[in-house]
Amino acid sequence: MSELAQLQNNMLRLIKARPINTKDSYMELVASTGELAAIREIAIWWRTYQLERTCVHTARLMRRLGVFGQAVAEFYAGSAVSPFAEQVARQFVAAMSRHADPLVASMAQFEAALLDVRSGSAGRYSIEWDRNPNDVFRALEHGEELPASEGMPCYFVEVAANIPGMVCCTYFG
Amino acid sequence: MASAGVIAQRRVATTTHAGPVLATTYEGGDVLLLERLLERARYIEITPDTIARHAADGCALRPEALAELKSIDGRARLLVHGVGLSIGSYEGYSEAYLRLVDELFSRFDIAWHSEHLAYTTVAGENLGTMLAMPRTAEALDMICQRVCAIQKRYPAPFLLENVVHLLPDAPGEFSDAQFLNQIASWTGCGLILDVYNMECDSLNYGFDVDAFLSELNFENVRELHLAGGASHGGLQLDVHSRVTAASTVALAAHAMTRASQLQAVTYEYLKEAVPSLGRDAICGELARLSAELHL
Repeated sequence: MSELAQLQNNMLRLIKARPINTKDSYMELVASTGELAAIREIAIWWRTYQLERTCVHTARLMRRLGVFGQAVAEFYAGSAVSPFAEQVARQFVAAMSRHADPLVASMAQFEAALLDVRSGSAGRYSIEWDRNPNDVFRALEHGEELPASEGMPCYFVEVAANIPGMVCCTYFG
Repeated sequence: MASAGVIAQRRVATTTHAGPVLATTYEGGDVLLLERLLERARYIEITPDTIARHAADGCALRPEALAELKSIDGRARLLVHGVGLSIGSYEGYSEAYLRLVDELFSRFDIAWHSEHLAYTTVAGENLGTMLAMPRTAEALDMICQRVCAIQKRYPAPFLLENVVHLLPDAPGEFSDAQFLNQIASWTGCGLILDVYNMECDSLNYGFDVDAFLSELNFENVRELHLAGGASHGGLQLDVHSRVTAASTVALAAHAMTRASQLQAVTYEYLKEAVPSLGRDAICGELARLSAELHL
């Protein structure tokens, strides 16, 4: 590996807060600076800002649940984040679609479907929810308490370009 | 040192040079602002990365942004200024970014295009920030080869810009000015001198602006960038969110006395800063720079 490759790979690890296996004095110097922490903080701030504007629903829900900041920081550190904002949104909702909280996962799957359909996909997407999504959106809009889970998936949201309003919701108890 | 193969003929057009004119940023989505910018600016700087959207084969320019650029219709010329090329990444620069530039060149009359002398991606991962290159012979050779390849690909001149140094410099063999001089000399590319970036470096770690300017070959400088920004955690940031400070304008005026080939002075601001800055302040800034710098 060339010196340049070695340097850049180490810089990537430092910026993403990953361990580096080197006794290189320059890397030790960089690791010790306050500027490195500031760069990380600014990078995460930009990702947060971008995601709040590109995946509005998922970001708003996760903010309400108090898990957005940590999720963005982990997403930034652990993913090969795209330089293109819209791609970052897709990467983020794809990652959050596997979130341990089923409400976050459903919302992220729903937003992923919206992004696809709005960018011209002719596909039809189905997302299961364990509570009424209308109530979830109403609670987010009005700052009310989020509805509790009904225990198992019982609402079915479909997203497609040929659905009037692009979205429809069905209760299947 | 760079191989003979990277040496190319000078491509920066100077034949019609008639003094610098005013340029400014436009990142799409605000036609009212664009119309007002066109009353002042002779060049409009666009950033392909910010007007791109997801497409089946990667990224493509947004049709609505292309329509806005088409509406300029000869009232100003376009400058393409990238963020995502990552010309300094050891594994190669971004072909996805260049495909966006290809599309712009196929549709519009681009006066010149430019990028930061930096890297934003490593091994396919975006850093979320822009880092300065180590000023080594290895990096110089690589950059020169890439500049030559880019110059072959496009019919318009290509310029490189000095970036802020947010981290301590990596060990290297050249000073900042020597590195820029060598790249321009060996490839024939032009340079953008970002005056605000120099000020950030000066404030952040005592960068010697006078020494840098004394050593820089101003014959290669085609464009100045001006901006204003905020500080965070004791760092003056390369975040273009404010009007230009008086000290930045004064430094620009000083640089202009030496840059005989200067073609444009560009006031840059982020799209995200428009709501807080306001359209009036942006247009007022253009009027102010035009008057104070005689553009």
